[in-house]
Amino acid sequence: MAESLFWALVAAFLLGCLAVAAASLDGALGARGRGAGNLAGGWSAPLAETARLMRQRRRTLVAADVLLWRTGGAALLVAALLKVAVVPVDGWALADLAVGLVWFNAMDVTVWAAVWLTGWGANSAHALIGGYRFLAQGLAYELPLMFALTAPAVAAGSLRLAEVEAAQRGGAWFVLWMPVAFAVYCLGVVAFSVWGPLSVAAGVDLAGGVLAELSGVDRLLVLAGRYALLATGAAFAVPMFLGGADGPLLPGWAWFALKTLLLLAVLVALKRRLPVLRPDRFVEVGWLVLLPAVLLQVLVVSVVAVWRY
Amino acid sequence: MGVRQWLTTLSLRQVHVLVVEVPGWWSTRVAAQQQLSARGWPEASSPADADVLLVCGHPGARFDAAVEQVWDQLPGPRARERAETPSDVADALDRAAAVLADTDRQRRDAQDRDRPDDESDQHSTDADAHEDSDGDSGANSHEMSDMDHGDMGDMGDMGDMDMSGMDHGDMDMAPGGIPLAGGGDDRDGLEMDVLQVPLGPVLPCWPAGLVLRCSLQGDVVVAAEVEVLTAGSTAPAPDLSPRAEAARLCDQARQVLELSGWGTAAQQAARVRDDLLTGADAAACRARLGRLRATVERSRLLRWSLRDLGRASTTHGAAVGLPVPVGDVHDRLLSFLRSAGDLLDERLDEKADHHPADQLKVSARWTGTDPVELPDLVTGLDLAAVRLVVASVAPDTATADTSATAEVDGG
Amino acid sequence: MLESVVFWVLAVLAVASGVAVFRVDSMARATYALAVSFVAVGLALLLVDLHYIGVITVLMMVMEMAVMAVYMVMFMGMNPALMPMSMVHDNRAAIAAAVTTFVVLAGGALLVPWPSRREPDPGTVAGTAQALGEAIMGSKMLVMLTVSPAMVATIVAGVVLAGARGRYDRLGDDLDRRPADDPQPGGVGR
Repeated sequence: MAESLFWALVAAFLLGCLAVAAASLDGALGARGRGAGNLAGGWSAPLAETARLMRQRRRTLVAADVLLWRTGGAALLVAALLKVAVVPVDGWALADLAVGLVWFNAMDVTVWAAVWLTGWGANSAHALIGGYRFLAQGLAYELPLMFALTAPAVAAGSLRLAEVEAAQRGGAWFVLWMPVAFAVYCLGVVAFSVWGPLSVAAGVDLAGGVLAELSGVDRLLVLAGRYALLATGAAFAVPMFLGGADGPLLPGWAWFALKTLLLLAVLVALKRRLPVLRPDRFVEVGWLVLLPAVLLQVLVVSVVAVWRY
Repeated sequence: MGVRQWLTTLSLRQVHVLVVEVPGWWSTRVAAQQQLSARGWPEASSPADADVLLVCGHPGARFDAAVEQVWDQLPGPRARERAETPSDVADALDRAAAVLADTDRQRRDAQDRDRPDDESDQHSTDADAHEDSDGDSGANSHEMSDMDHGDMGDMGDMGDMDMSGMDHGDMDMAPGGIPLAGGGDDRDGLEMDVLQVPLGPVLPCWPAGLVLRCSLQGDVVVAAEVEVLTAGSTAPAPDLSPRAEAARLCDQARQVLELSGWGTAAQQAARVRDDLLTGADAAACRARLGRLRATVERSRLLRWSLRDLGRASTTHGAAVGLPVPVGDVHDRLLSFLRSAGDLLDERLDEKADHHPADQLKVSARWTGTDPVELPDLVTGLDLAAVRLVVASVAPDTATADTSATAEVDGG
Repeated sequence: MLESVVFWVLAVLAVASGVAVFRVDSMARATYALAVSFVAVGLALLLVDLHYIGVITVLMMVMEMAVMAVYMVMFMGMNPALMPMSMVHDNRAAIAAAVTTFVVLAGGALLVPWPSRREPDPGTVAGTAQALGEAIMGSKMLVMLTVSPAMVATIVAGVVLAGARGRYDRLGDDLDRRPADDPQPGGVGR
């Protein structure tokens, strides 16, 4: 019991490091884009931002639903921590559930609830609209994401993540023959982290959306939750699509870390490079383009899986 | 305390500044943004996110009242500065940083705000009832009743409902002192509540001093009224050289790009604008602008996102001889960049023959659209689309203000 | 021992939040109290080794509550506010039906002579479930597979039929107007 608690704390700490790394990269990219000389300031942005938010007072609004508001804000980070519990590193996971994949999916659905509650609880027009835009976008990306998660499960014949990772041993990484599923999965990660091209819930065009009324510790929790979700999504993709700890020369955990960091860097860099996809446009794309593509992908994977047996 | 001091020093590296632009002080606002960018300080997106409130220019009476309300919404620690000329900005920001670092002063400020708790609460509920609050940073704590209260008339069809569970009578249908919203039929045939939301004057990437009072049903604007808050004194004469005009066009393009979420392109537009204003080499500016234009024109994702948004069909402006916005948001964005390029190339006499879609008159003095056009353009769009359309239409609040200073400022 | 504690905590949570659905003053709170209740039930299912069903219950219920928020705004009158409201209609009949159902189900659960469980070999829990599934559904597996897309098609058809604007409103009398006349155009231009 004490041992699993210890490992849980280790996992939380590692997740925190990844989240801070993602935030630092984002700050550095921002600083570089501004053309400013102080790149060092960009790298230390998460630290400075944390200090600033710890110093800042919290605020509330008239008739805000404080219980729901604060719960929603904290739930993002909690969802990220629960997700990371099932990610296997070189076959070892904190909680290797027999249905680890479905657990991951369940946790990213709680992000729907969390973001909406954060938007609702604030009793402010911009926050509420941000929450509802997130739901509209969610209706578009969630089904393709769920089917994309099915593809590796079908190929490996199991919902247990350690077995999905084991099925890719020897270089037959899933990303090579199910690229559509991988792309849709990455889109899903970006979406549930309220990041980059799918960050309508927190967009500038809504004065910050769900972030519009948050300050102090509450804001820190939501921002940290976003980075933590991004980090968890990247870490999860490694055993699912990128072969897990598979790779020559270096030890398993080193490959895992390397792949996670690379994917995380790509996801973080996406933020500034693409315009935001507006949900009213994106819904049609999700249902008419992404969903059929992913279903075809799953069909191909199923045919291969049946043929192999 | 060592830790507290360290925390303070660290937090001063990332001061979020909310920049308020008074119509006519565009160059001061741009200087402020340049300063922020040089220091690595982000621009705040809402008062909750801000540490410093920087007012660029001299606001009139009503504008000042709006700024006061925004100031109230900044959580501590906070600082407030005003800058009139571009050269003032750096000092203002330094002073603000010093105020933020002064922990005792911040503590006193916090105590002063917290102490008259009952009176200020009373005060704010009285203000709510009047719906008078202009100009919030779009997140008005006073007017936001929950959006979905229908009328009491609907209760009749609920069958044998337990009425004793409802003790509305004494509450007078006003939770927290804010009256409930009334209902109305909306665009899609649902009966949704109507909420009055004023947009501006303190909003990121928003024309200076513009207040757009929207009636929202859901997130769709069903009606809008426009008003321009004026300055308190005459603004400095605007720079009319082609460079400055091109810089203004780049700034408008930057706002549209920022609102559509494309960070790198917006930053490139900001750099072109800054280069033009600081007198950098014309050829380098032209090259940079050319690259930006190529990037934006090539981006199919942006075209897909902004296509058919805010397609202008109004002819009001044409009837009174004002420049009319044409096309959709994407066309107007490209026309900003093209016009800026044309100004730099000194092709002022070749009006718009190469670009049939571009009918924005590129004259020596570029005037944006009259704000009075806005309600027609934004009705029926959702709130985020309204922001994009307003930014693309670029209403010129500075000229609207100077012609009507006397009458409007009386309010 | 730990399992018992967890079970009772989850059970009390499920019932308490179920009651809260009817007692709270806000539709949003009622929605999420319902979500908490379902999640507690889903987690309780994990205790009886029904891992997949438990996690799927959690997933589905949270998403349903999130989607309910959308319907809440579309169709409900004043309720999402923090105003006192009553969640019950037709009290007496509802109470009668609820109590009857509870008595029947609880009575069945307690009084039916369940077969005693043989000591399972490690790793045969899945085997038992599989055997049970095959016994119940065995020959009807193909039917089960086709029922599910039929259900999805029915849901979609129902939504389409319920829509206020049909194809003729969108595409004109000859179904030839392109692009379609929508108040808000979609992304693919259909």
